[in-house]
Amino acid sequence: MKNTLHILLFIMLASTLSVSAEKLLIFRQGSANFEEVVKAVKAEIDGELDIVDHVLSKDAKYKEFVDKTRAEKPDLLLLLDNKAVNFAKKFNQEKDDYAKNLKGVAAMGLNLRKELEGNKNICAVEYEVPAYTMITGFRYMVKTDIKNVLVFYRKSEQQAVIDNATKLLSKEGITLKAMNAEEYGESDEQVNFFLQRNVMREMYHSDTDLVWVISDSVLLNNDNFAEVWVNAARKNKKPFIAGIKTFASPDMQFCAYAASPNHTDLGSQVAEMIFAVIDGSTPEEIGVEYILSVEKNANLKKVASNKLELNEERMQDVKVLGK
Amino acid sequence: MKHPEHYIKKRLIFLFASLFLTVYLSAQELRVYQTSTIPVKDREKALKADASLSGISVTVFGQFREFSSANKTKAKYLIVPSSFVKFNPDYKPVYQFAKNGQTNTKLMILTSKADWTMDKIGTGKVGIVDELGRKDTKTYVQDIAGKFKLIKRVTKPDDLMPLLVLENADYIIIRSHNYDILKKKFTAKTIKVGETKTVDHPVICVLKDTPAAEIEKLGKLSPETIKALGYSELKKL
Repeated sequence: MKNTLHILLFIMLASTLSVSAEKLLIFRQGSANFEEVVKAVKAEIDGELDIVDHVLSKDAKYKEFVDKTRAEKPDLLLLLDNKAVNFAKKFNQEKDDYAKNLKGVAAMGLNLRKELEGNKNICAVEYEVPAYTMITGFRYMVKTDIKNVLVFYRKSEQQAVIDNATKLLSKEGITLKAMNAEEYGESDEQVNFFLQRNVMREMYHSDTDLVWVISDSVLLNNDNFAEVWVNAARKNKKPFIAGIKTFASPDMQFCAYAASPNHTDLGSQVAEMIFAVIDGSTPEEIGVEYILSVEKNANLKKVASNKLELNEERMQDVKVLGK
Repeated sequence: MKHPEHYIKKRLIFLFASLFLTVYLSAQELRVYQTSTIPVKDREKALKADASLSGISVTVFGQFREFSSANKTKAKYLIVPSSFVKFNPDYKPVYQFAKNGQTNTKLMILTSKADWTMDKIGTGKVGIVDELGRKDTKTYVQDIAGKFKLIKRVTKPDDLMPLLVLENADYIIIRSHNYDILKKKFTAKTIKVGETKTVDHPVICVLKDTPAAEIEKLGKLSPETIKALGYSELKKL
């Protein structure tokens, strides 16, 4: 009888302890990169939090987000794309205190620094690889010094990105020449017209060592991609670099180097942020961080046609594409 | 047609053989985790080619999480940062790596902004390469450097400089030889604001019940292997 009582007390204590773990609710897409990030987050959290993983379909509506959140009552959200971030922002505007105060960590969304400007409930890891990481990675790989970098951007969307990149690159003695592609107007046609007139012309300036290509669907589109961007990269000896691996594919003959997110390490970085919030830091003080760890990809055909010499001993963590 | 008992016997023999091999191989495994900029494959190649480790399976890990996850089934022998032993009492250190006669060093505490002095660490974020996992890193950092507001672990030394320059952290704690290598990649100005307490270089450690003869064998690593791991000597503890 006494033993039975002890067992019952133990079960009650154990169930109390298991219930007391904080709950993390993940909203994400179902593709491989998202799986990889979530796998790394789960490995880092390693049982310290209860995790519920929910895949939002492409046509998921806000109601699905609300119903799942209300049913699970998580202590924290992990928001892995812009749709999840937008739903969470809307949820934070509901009337009840729980919804108003529910905190989140976001990643794998585009332009999160801008999307979360002034937001007090959601902190994030930016998905876009910063120019600093991309350019220092490329500079380390080649024997040519990089002093002047040319970039085309959209002022309406990317001014903060350019300001930060200018500040960070100056720490490495690199000058960023940023051309606003919306100078003739913000419509797609006006942006295309500007790029047609200026990409090739600017590249021929002798003080351009490198062209940084911002991955943006207005700057790079079906109408200008081959004609403006790839054409310029093929005709000129100046190397192009980007944050999309495919752009450094040898078949494309476009970029000499691409630094794309390392999804496993991104998961670790996200988990670190989750623990920071759980341990009492506010999303507001954490803010939006840059992604740290990247996969480095080189297109050696393009490096050769750009007449660049490689630092072979520094290629150990660089993946050579098309090998 | 053979009796079903025949197949059952065969299966049982196979099962026991597999079990024996699993236990035997894990018992003869050396797992290695260091916070190093030397590529994993180079260190693994050197260890696998070392005659003193013949018959011992060697795995070198590039990230602490991978090492920690694998070592849930404890390997008999480890090469790990000296801090690991403090938090894992099942292991005892038996050999100490040394560099130019020194068995220890002080880690550098760096910042990129002059405002972040040592008296402000209580309000600042510090970055360090993960070598202990979340909970033990907190205790360890507080022990060797003091109490920071927030600790940010990164998976490899390469990520420390971007962490600082991109302002994801206010300070970083870094080994001086790793910093020398990173300076070739990143030229951004950093300021040394302090040093940690003395930290021993990595150690070879073994599970506590390991026989003396096996320990003796581990001390016979060749000078080439020791060099490939980034050190110059191995001292018995």
